[in-house]
Amino acid sequence: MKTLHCLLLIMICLTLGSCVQSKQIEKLSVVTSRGTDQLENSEIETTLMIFQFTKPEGIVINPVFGKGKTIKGALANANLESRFELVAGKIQLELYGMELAKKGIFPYLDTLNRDARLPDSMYLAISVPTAKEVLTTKEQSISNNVGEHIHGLIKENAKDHFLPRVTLQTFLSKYYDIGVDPALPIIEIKDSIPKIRSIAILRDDKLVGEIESNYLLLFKILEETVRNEKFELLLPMKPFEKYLKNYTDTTKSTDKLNIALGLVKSKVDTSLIDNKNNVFQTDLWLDVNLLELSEPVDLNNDKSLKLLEKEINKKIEADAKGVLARIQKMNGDTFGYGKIYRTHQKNGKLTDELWHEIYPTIKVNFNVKTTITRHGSVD
Amino acid sequence: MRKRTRPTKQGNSVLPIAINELEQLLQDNFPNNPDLTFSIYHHHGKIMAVFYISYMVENDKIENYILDQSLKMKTDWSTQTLLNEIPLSSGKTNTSIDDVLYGLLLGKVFLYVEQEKEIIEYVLLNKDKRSLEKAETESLVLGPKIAFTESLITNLNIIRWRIRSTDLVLEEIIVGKKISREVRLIYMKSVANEKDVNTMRQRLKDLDVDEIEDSAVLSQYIEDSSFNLFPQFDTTELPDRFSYAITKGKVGLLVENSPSGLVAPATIFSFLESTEDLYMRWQAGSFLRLIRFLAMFFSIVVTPAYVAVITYHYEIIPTQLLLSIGESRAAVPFPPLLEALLLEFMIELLREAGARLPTKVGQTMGIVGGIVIGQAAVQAGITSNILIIVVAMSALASFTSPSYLLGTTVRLIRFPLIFLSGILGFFGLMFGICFLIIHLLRLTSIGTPYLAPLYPLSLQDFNNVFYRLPFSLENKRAKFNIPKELVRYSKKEAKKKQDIDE
Amino acid sequence: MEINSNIKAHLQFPAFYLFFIMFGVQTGVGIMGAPKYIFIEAKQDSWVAILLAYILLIIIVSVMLLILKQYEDADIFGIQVDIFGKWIGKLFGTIYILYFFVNLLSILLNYIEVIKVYLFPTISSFILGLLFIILIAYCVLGGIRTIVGMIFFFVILTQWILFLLYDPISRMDWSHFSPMFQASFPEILQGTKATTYSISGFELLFILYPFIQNKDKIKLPLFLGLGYTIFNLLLVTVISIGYFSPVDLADLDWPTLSLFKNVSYSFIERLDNIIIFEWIMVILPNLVLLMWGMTYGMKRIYNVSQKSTLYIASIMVLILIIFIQHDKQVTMITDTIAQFGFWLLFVYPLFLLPIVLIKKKWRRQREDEKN
Repeated sequence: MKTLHCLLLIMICLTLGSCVQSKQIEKLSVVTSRGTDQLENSEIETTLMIFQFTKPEGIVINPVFGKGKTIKGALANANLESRFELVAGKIQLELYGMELAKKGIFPYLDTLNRDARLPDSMYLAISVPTAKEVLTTKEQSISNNVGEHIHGLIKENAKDHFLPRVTLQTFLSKYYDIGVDPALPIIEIKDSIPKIRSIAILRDDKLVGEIESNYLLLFKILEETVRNEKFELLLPMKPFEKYLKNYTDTTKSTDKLNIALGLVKSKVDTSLIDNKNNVFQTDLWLDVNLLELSEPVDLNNDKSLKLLEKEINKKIEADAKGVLARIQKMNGDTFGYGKIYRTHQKNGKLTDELWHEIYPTIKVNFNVKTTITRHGSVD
Repeated sequence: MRKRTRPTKQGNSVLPIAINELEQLLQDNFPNNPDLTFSIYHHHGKIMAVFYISYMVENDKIENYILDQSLKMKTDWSTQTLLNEIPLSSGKTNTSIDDVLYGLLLGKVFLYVEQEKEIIEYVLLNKDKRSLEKAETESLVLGPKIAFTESLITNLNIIRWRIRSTDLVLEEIIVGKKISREVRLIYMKSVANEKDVNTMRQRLKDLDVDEIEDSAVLSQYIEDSSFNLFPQFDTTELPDRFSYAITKGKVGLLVENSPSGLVAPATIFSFLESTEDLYMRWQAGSFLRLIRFLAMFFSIVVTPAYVAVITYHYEIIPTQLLLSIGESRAAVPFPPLLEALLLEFMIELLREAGARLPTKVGQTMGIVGGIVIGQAAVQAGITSNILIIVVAMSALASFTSPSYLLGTTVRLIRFPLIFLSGILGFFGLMFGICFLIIHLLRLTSIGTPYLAPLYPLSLQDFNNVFYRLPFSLENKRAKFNIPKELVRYSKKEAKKKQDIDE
Repeated sequence: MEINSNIKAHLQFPAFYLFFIMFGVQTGVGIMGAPKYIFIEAKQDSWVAILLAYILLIIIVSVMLLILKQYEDADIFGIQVDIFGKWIGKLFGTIYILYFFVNLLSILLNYIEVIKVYLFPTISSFILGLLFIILIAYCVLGGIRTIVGMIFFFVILTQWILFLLYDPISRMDWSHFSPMFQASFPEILQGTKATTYSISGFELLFILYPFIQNKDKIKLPLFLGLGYTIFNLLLVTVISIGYFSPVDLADLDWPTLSLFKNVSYSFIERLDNIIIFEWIMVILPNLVLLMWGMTYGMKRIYNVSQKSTLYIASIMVLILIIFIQHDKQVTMITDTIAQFGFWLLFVYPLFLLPIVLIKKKWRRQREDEKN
């Protein structure tokens, strides 16, 4: 019995050595971000930012390029350039060139979904003009790796604030779902530093337009509950003039009131109120702290505070209406009104085509309720 | 006074016998033995022989109490009168010549008056022993620091003083056919589980060996299963730990000439218990015990996990950490498996060398090995410094075990696990851990499951095994030992509270 | 052969462990893919299908208990011989044993498939199979006491996986569930049928029953154990439906494992890599108890020593693992055993019960006549 055990163990040892492919980290080129661009001849070019561990330089970061018809083909092509095996298990960022995004990025996502070794938590973004240019920008001030920098940029923003989630999983989920379309950040090079330029509105996987980055927060609060965020608003000065503190020099006053608010918590709820005419109502509750006022408005007065809240409501409602009108024109349902529409249909059935016919005609009533809970240590 | 259980052979008694014949008989049985003192005295026409091995007995006592007293006697010598006149309490008569021969080796003095039917014996043994010292292998911060010595008498003395109760039983069992040795089976009559006591007694009595070298050897002879990694008896040199186990209903063994006592039934958790947990406040006691459990797990798993991750699963390392590990690995020419085995081997060398060397040199050794060699190895590019941290931490964790035996086992287990992780990654590691758990489940210690009270589950016993509650809440002994008396003291009394301002 | 199995007292275990045994033996590879199969049939109303499965499970297990209670201390092998006579009874017992064997094989093959797809595409199936067989054999050799202990430990040691589910829960989209109650009743029944593979295993109660110490307290741990299995299945399915979009979920092979792909912490990332291996602990209770059931059954029916069955079955499993390499074959075996399991586990007891009751009545009448 014992000898049998020993024999078995020896057999295992002998056979094992060769059968599992090892991935020792020092013999890998770890891909951290990948840019994909369209080439003229239906081929794609990928730019891979990789880490290599070498002696005596330590960590070496450099881009590798590969061309091919598929992502995996391009990876194999890039491998010809690299000393070690390229592995994508730690990939954090996928960048797509503008050209590619206009044609649709889904064909290049399939492998990401199919390959179980790739993480679901990678971020997706669109870059202007090409991914290659963004990733290979030479800038000393960005610590070491542009990919890492952009990842940090999106992560910092996507975790609790600003950007809607842009991971692979959320993208795919929105892509497959009927009645909601994904949105991605657009990255551009400004003064040779990558920066979020705007929000890309997609219809399914194709880029159809963009919205300026100052509406980022609006996108976020219309999608989910947001906590602990800061934003500023520009309100008209007119209604507040009578509440100005008496020591102010009224002659100097402007017609704009700049305020900075700290968002404590936001809550959003959308419902279909008129099934026939497709009228939706979006209620938005905002719980804010007042952080900054450009003019000395007397807040010790209940009325002035109420007025301020009302003006904020008005402003946000107007913003939301404006943005919605624009993305309705682009026909990308970023806010997911289709999902709500679908749940009110018989059998919950809705085709993508049908929804995109209805979508530009829907009406949404925005109803914002702001509460200023605190206004700092001065009135 | 010790009671001999050896059967005396009454049948072939050679007594009465002439003195010179007796001398001849002894000479024949101890050939070439210059140490046997055989002196003959005459008194009132009677002849008496006094014989003993000189360095085994206290010579002053023989002179002062036996020879002086008997030679001054007014009456005639006979067995009865001698027993009466000599002022020593341990006098006894014996008729078997075999017992006499054996008795010489136990430090007895024999008196024989010619033509009497019995030999008188006195126990006047003179045993050289070291004095009581502080425990070396199991050190404590709080609590009694005295350790067992090689002398069984001294050890019994300590135990009796610690457990002053008529309940305490110290059964004598002689083990060893060729060179016999005294073993004491120690338990509390009213507490200890009878099945355990019987099993232990049976195993000791059934033991058919020529000799036992030490209590550790005895434990290997009588354990439940020899083909396993884990110790099945708790070995301790601390009387307080020993007596604590006895009072809680376990069975103890003390072996002559061995400074460590055995306690059974042992569970894997009992090796991680220290009496110090009792001496601490209960919060600190629980915390330290928890730390020890974690340390054991950590010590077993951390190096294999490192090897598995570096060799196969780079994905699970966060990017920042991956960078620093990759950087330190870049210079190392070996695969992680070899690297880890090399370092573990080095640590084991250091430990072994430190244990063999005298204490003072041993300390220097540790510093030289730990700091100088470690530093040099990293600079020479033989190992990565992350691995040095990992290996050092796992070695450190393995030393937190209060039982040296368990610590050794834990260190031993690491090697197959490292090997498995090196060839199969996490699959190998999981395989190893599963195997280990099944292995532990199959073990028993004198019939008690080794993983009690986890399996069979006994939630009530978790107290005192995994944590320690204040004494007002722990009024029971461990249930899985099946003690005769479960309750230690009344809970009502312990919990009696006073009102405010009373 | 004896109808009653006369288990020695020291081999029996308290009914309390039945909770862990039921959960441990039901949860295995099935739950890895179950959300997909249930969802394909019952869509967003899958949760109704699973709750229905629980009701079905309670009925079937109650029927099993009723059958077992007609006898003093018998297991299914003894009962079948008593009911159908020596030849047919033994044949039915053999069918059970064969079912255990193929089920064991399908679990192993499925798990090996997962390892190959997720992590080691080039690893040899034989090696993985060999390591599993070593664990199974080592555990079965320890006897029923070790097996129950192993299940108890491994069930507890795998519970932490549930805590990781909070991450996918936080990413769920609840609109995937509405509008509710759209699936027709046949669709829901199809969904219920799709759960059978992932809740099979309770049939071992038929064999374990004589080993239980306090049979009067059997009900609570038994039904709680079944309930906990269903709870887990329900949890995983509901999260999968919310987390993946419908089109995606119908395509994914092992949605349960994919749920963990996003779980990352600052000190450790990609926990799915660890969970795949933690799954060894989830499937070992299945494998070991099935293997034990086989050896014990062979001993009861043909009086073959448990050790020889163990060794022969192990070698046969290893040989089959070498030959079955394609995922198509694995799927085919799994589908077949799931189909067969449905009839054997869910339908057969319902037929057995009336026969057992009639036979008992008939026997009592005859005894009355005699007297």
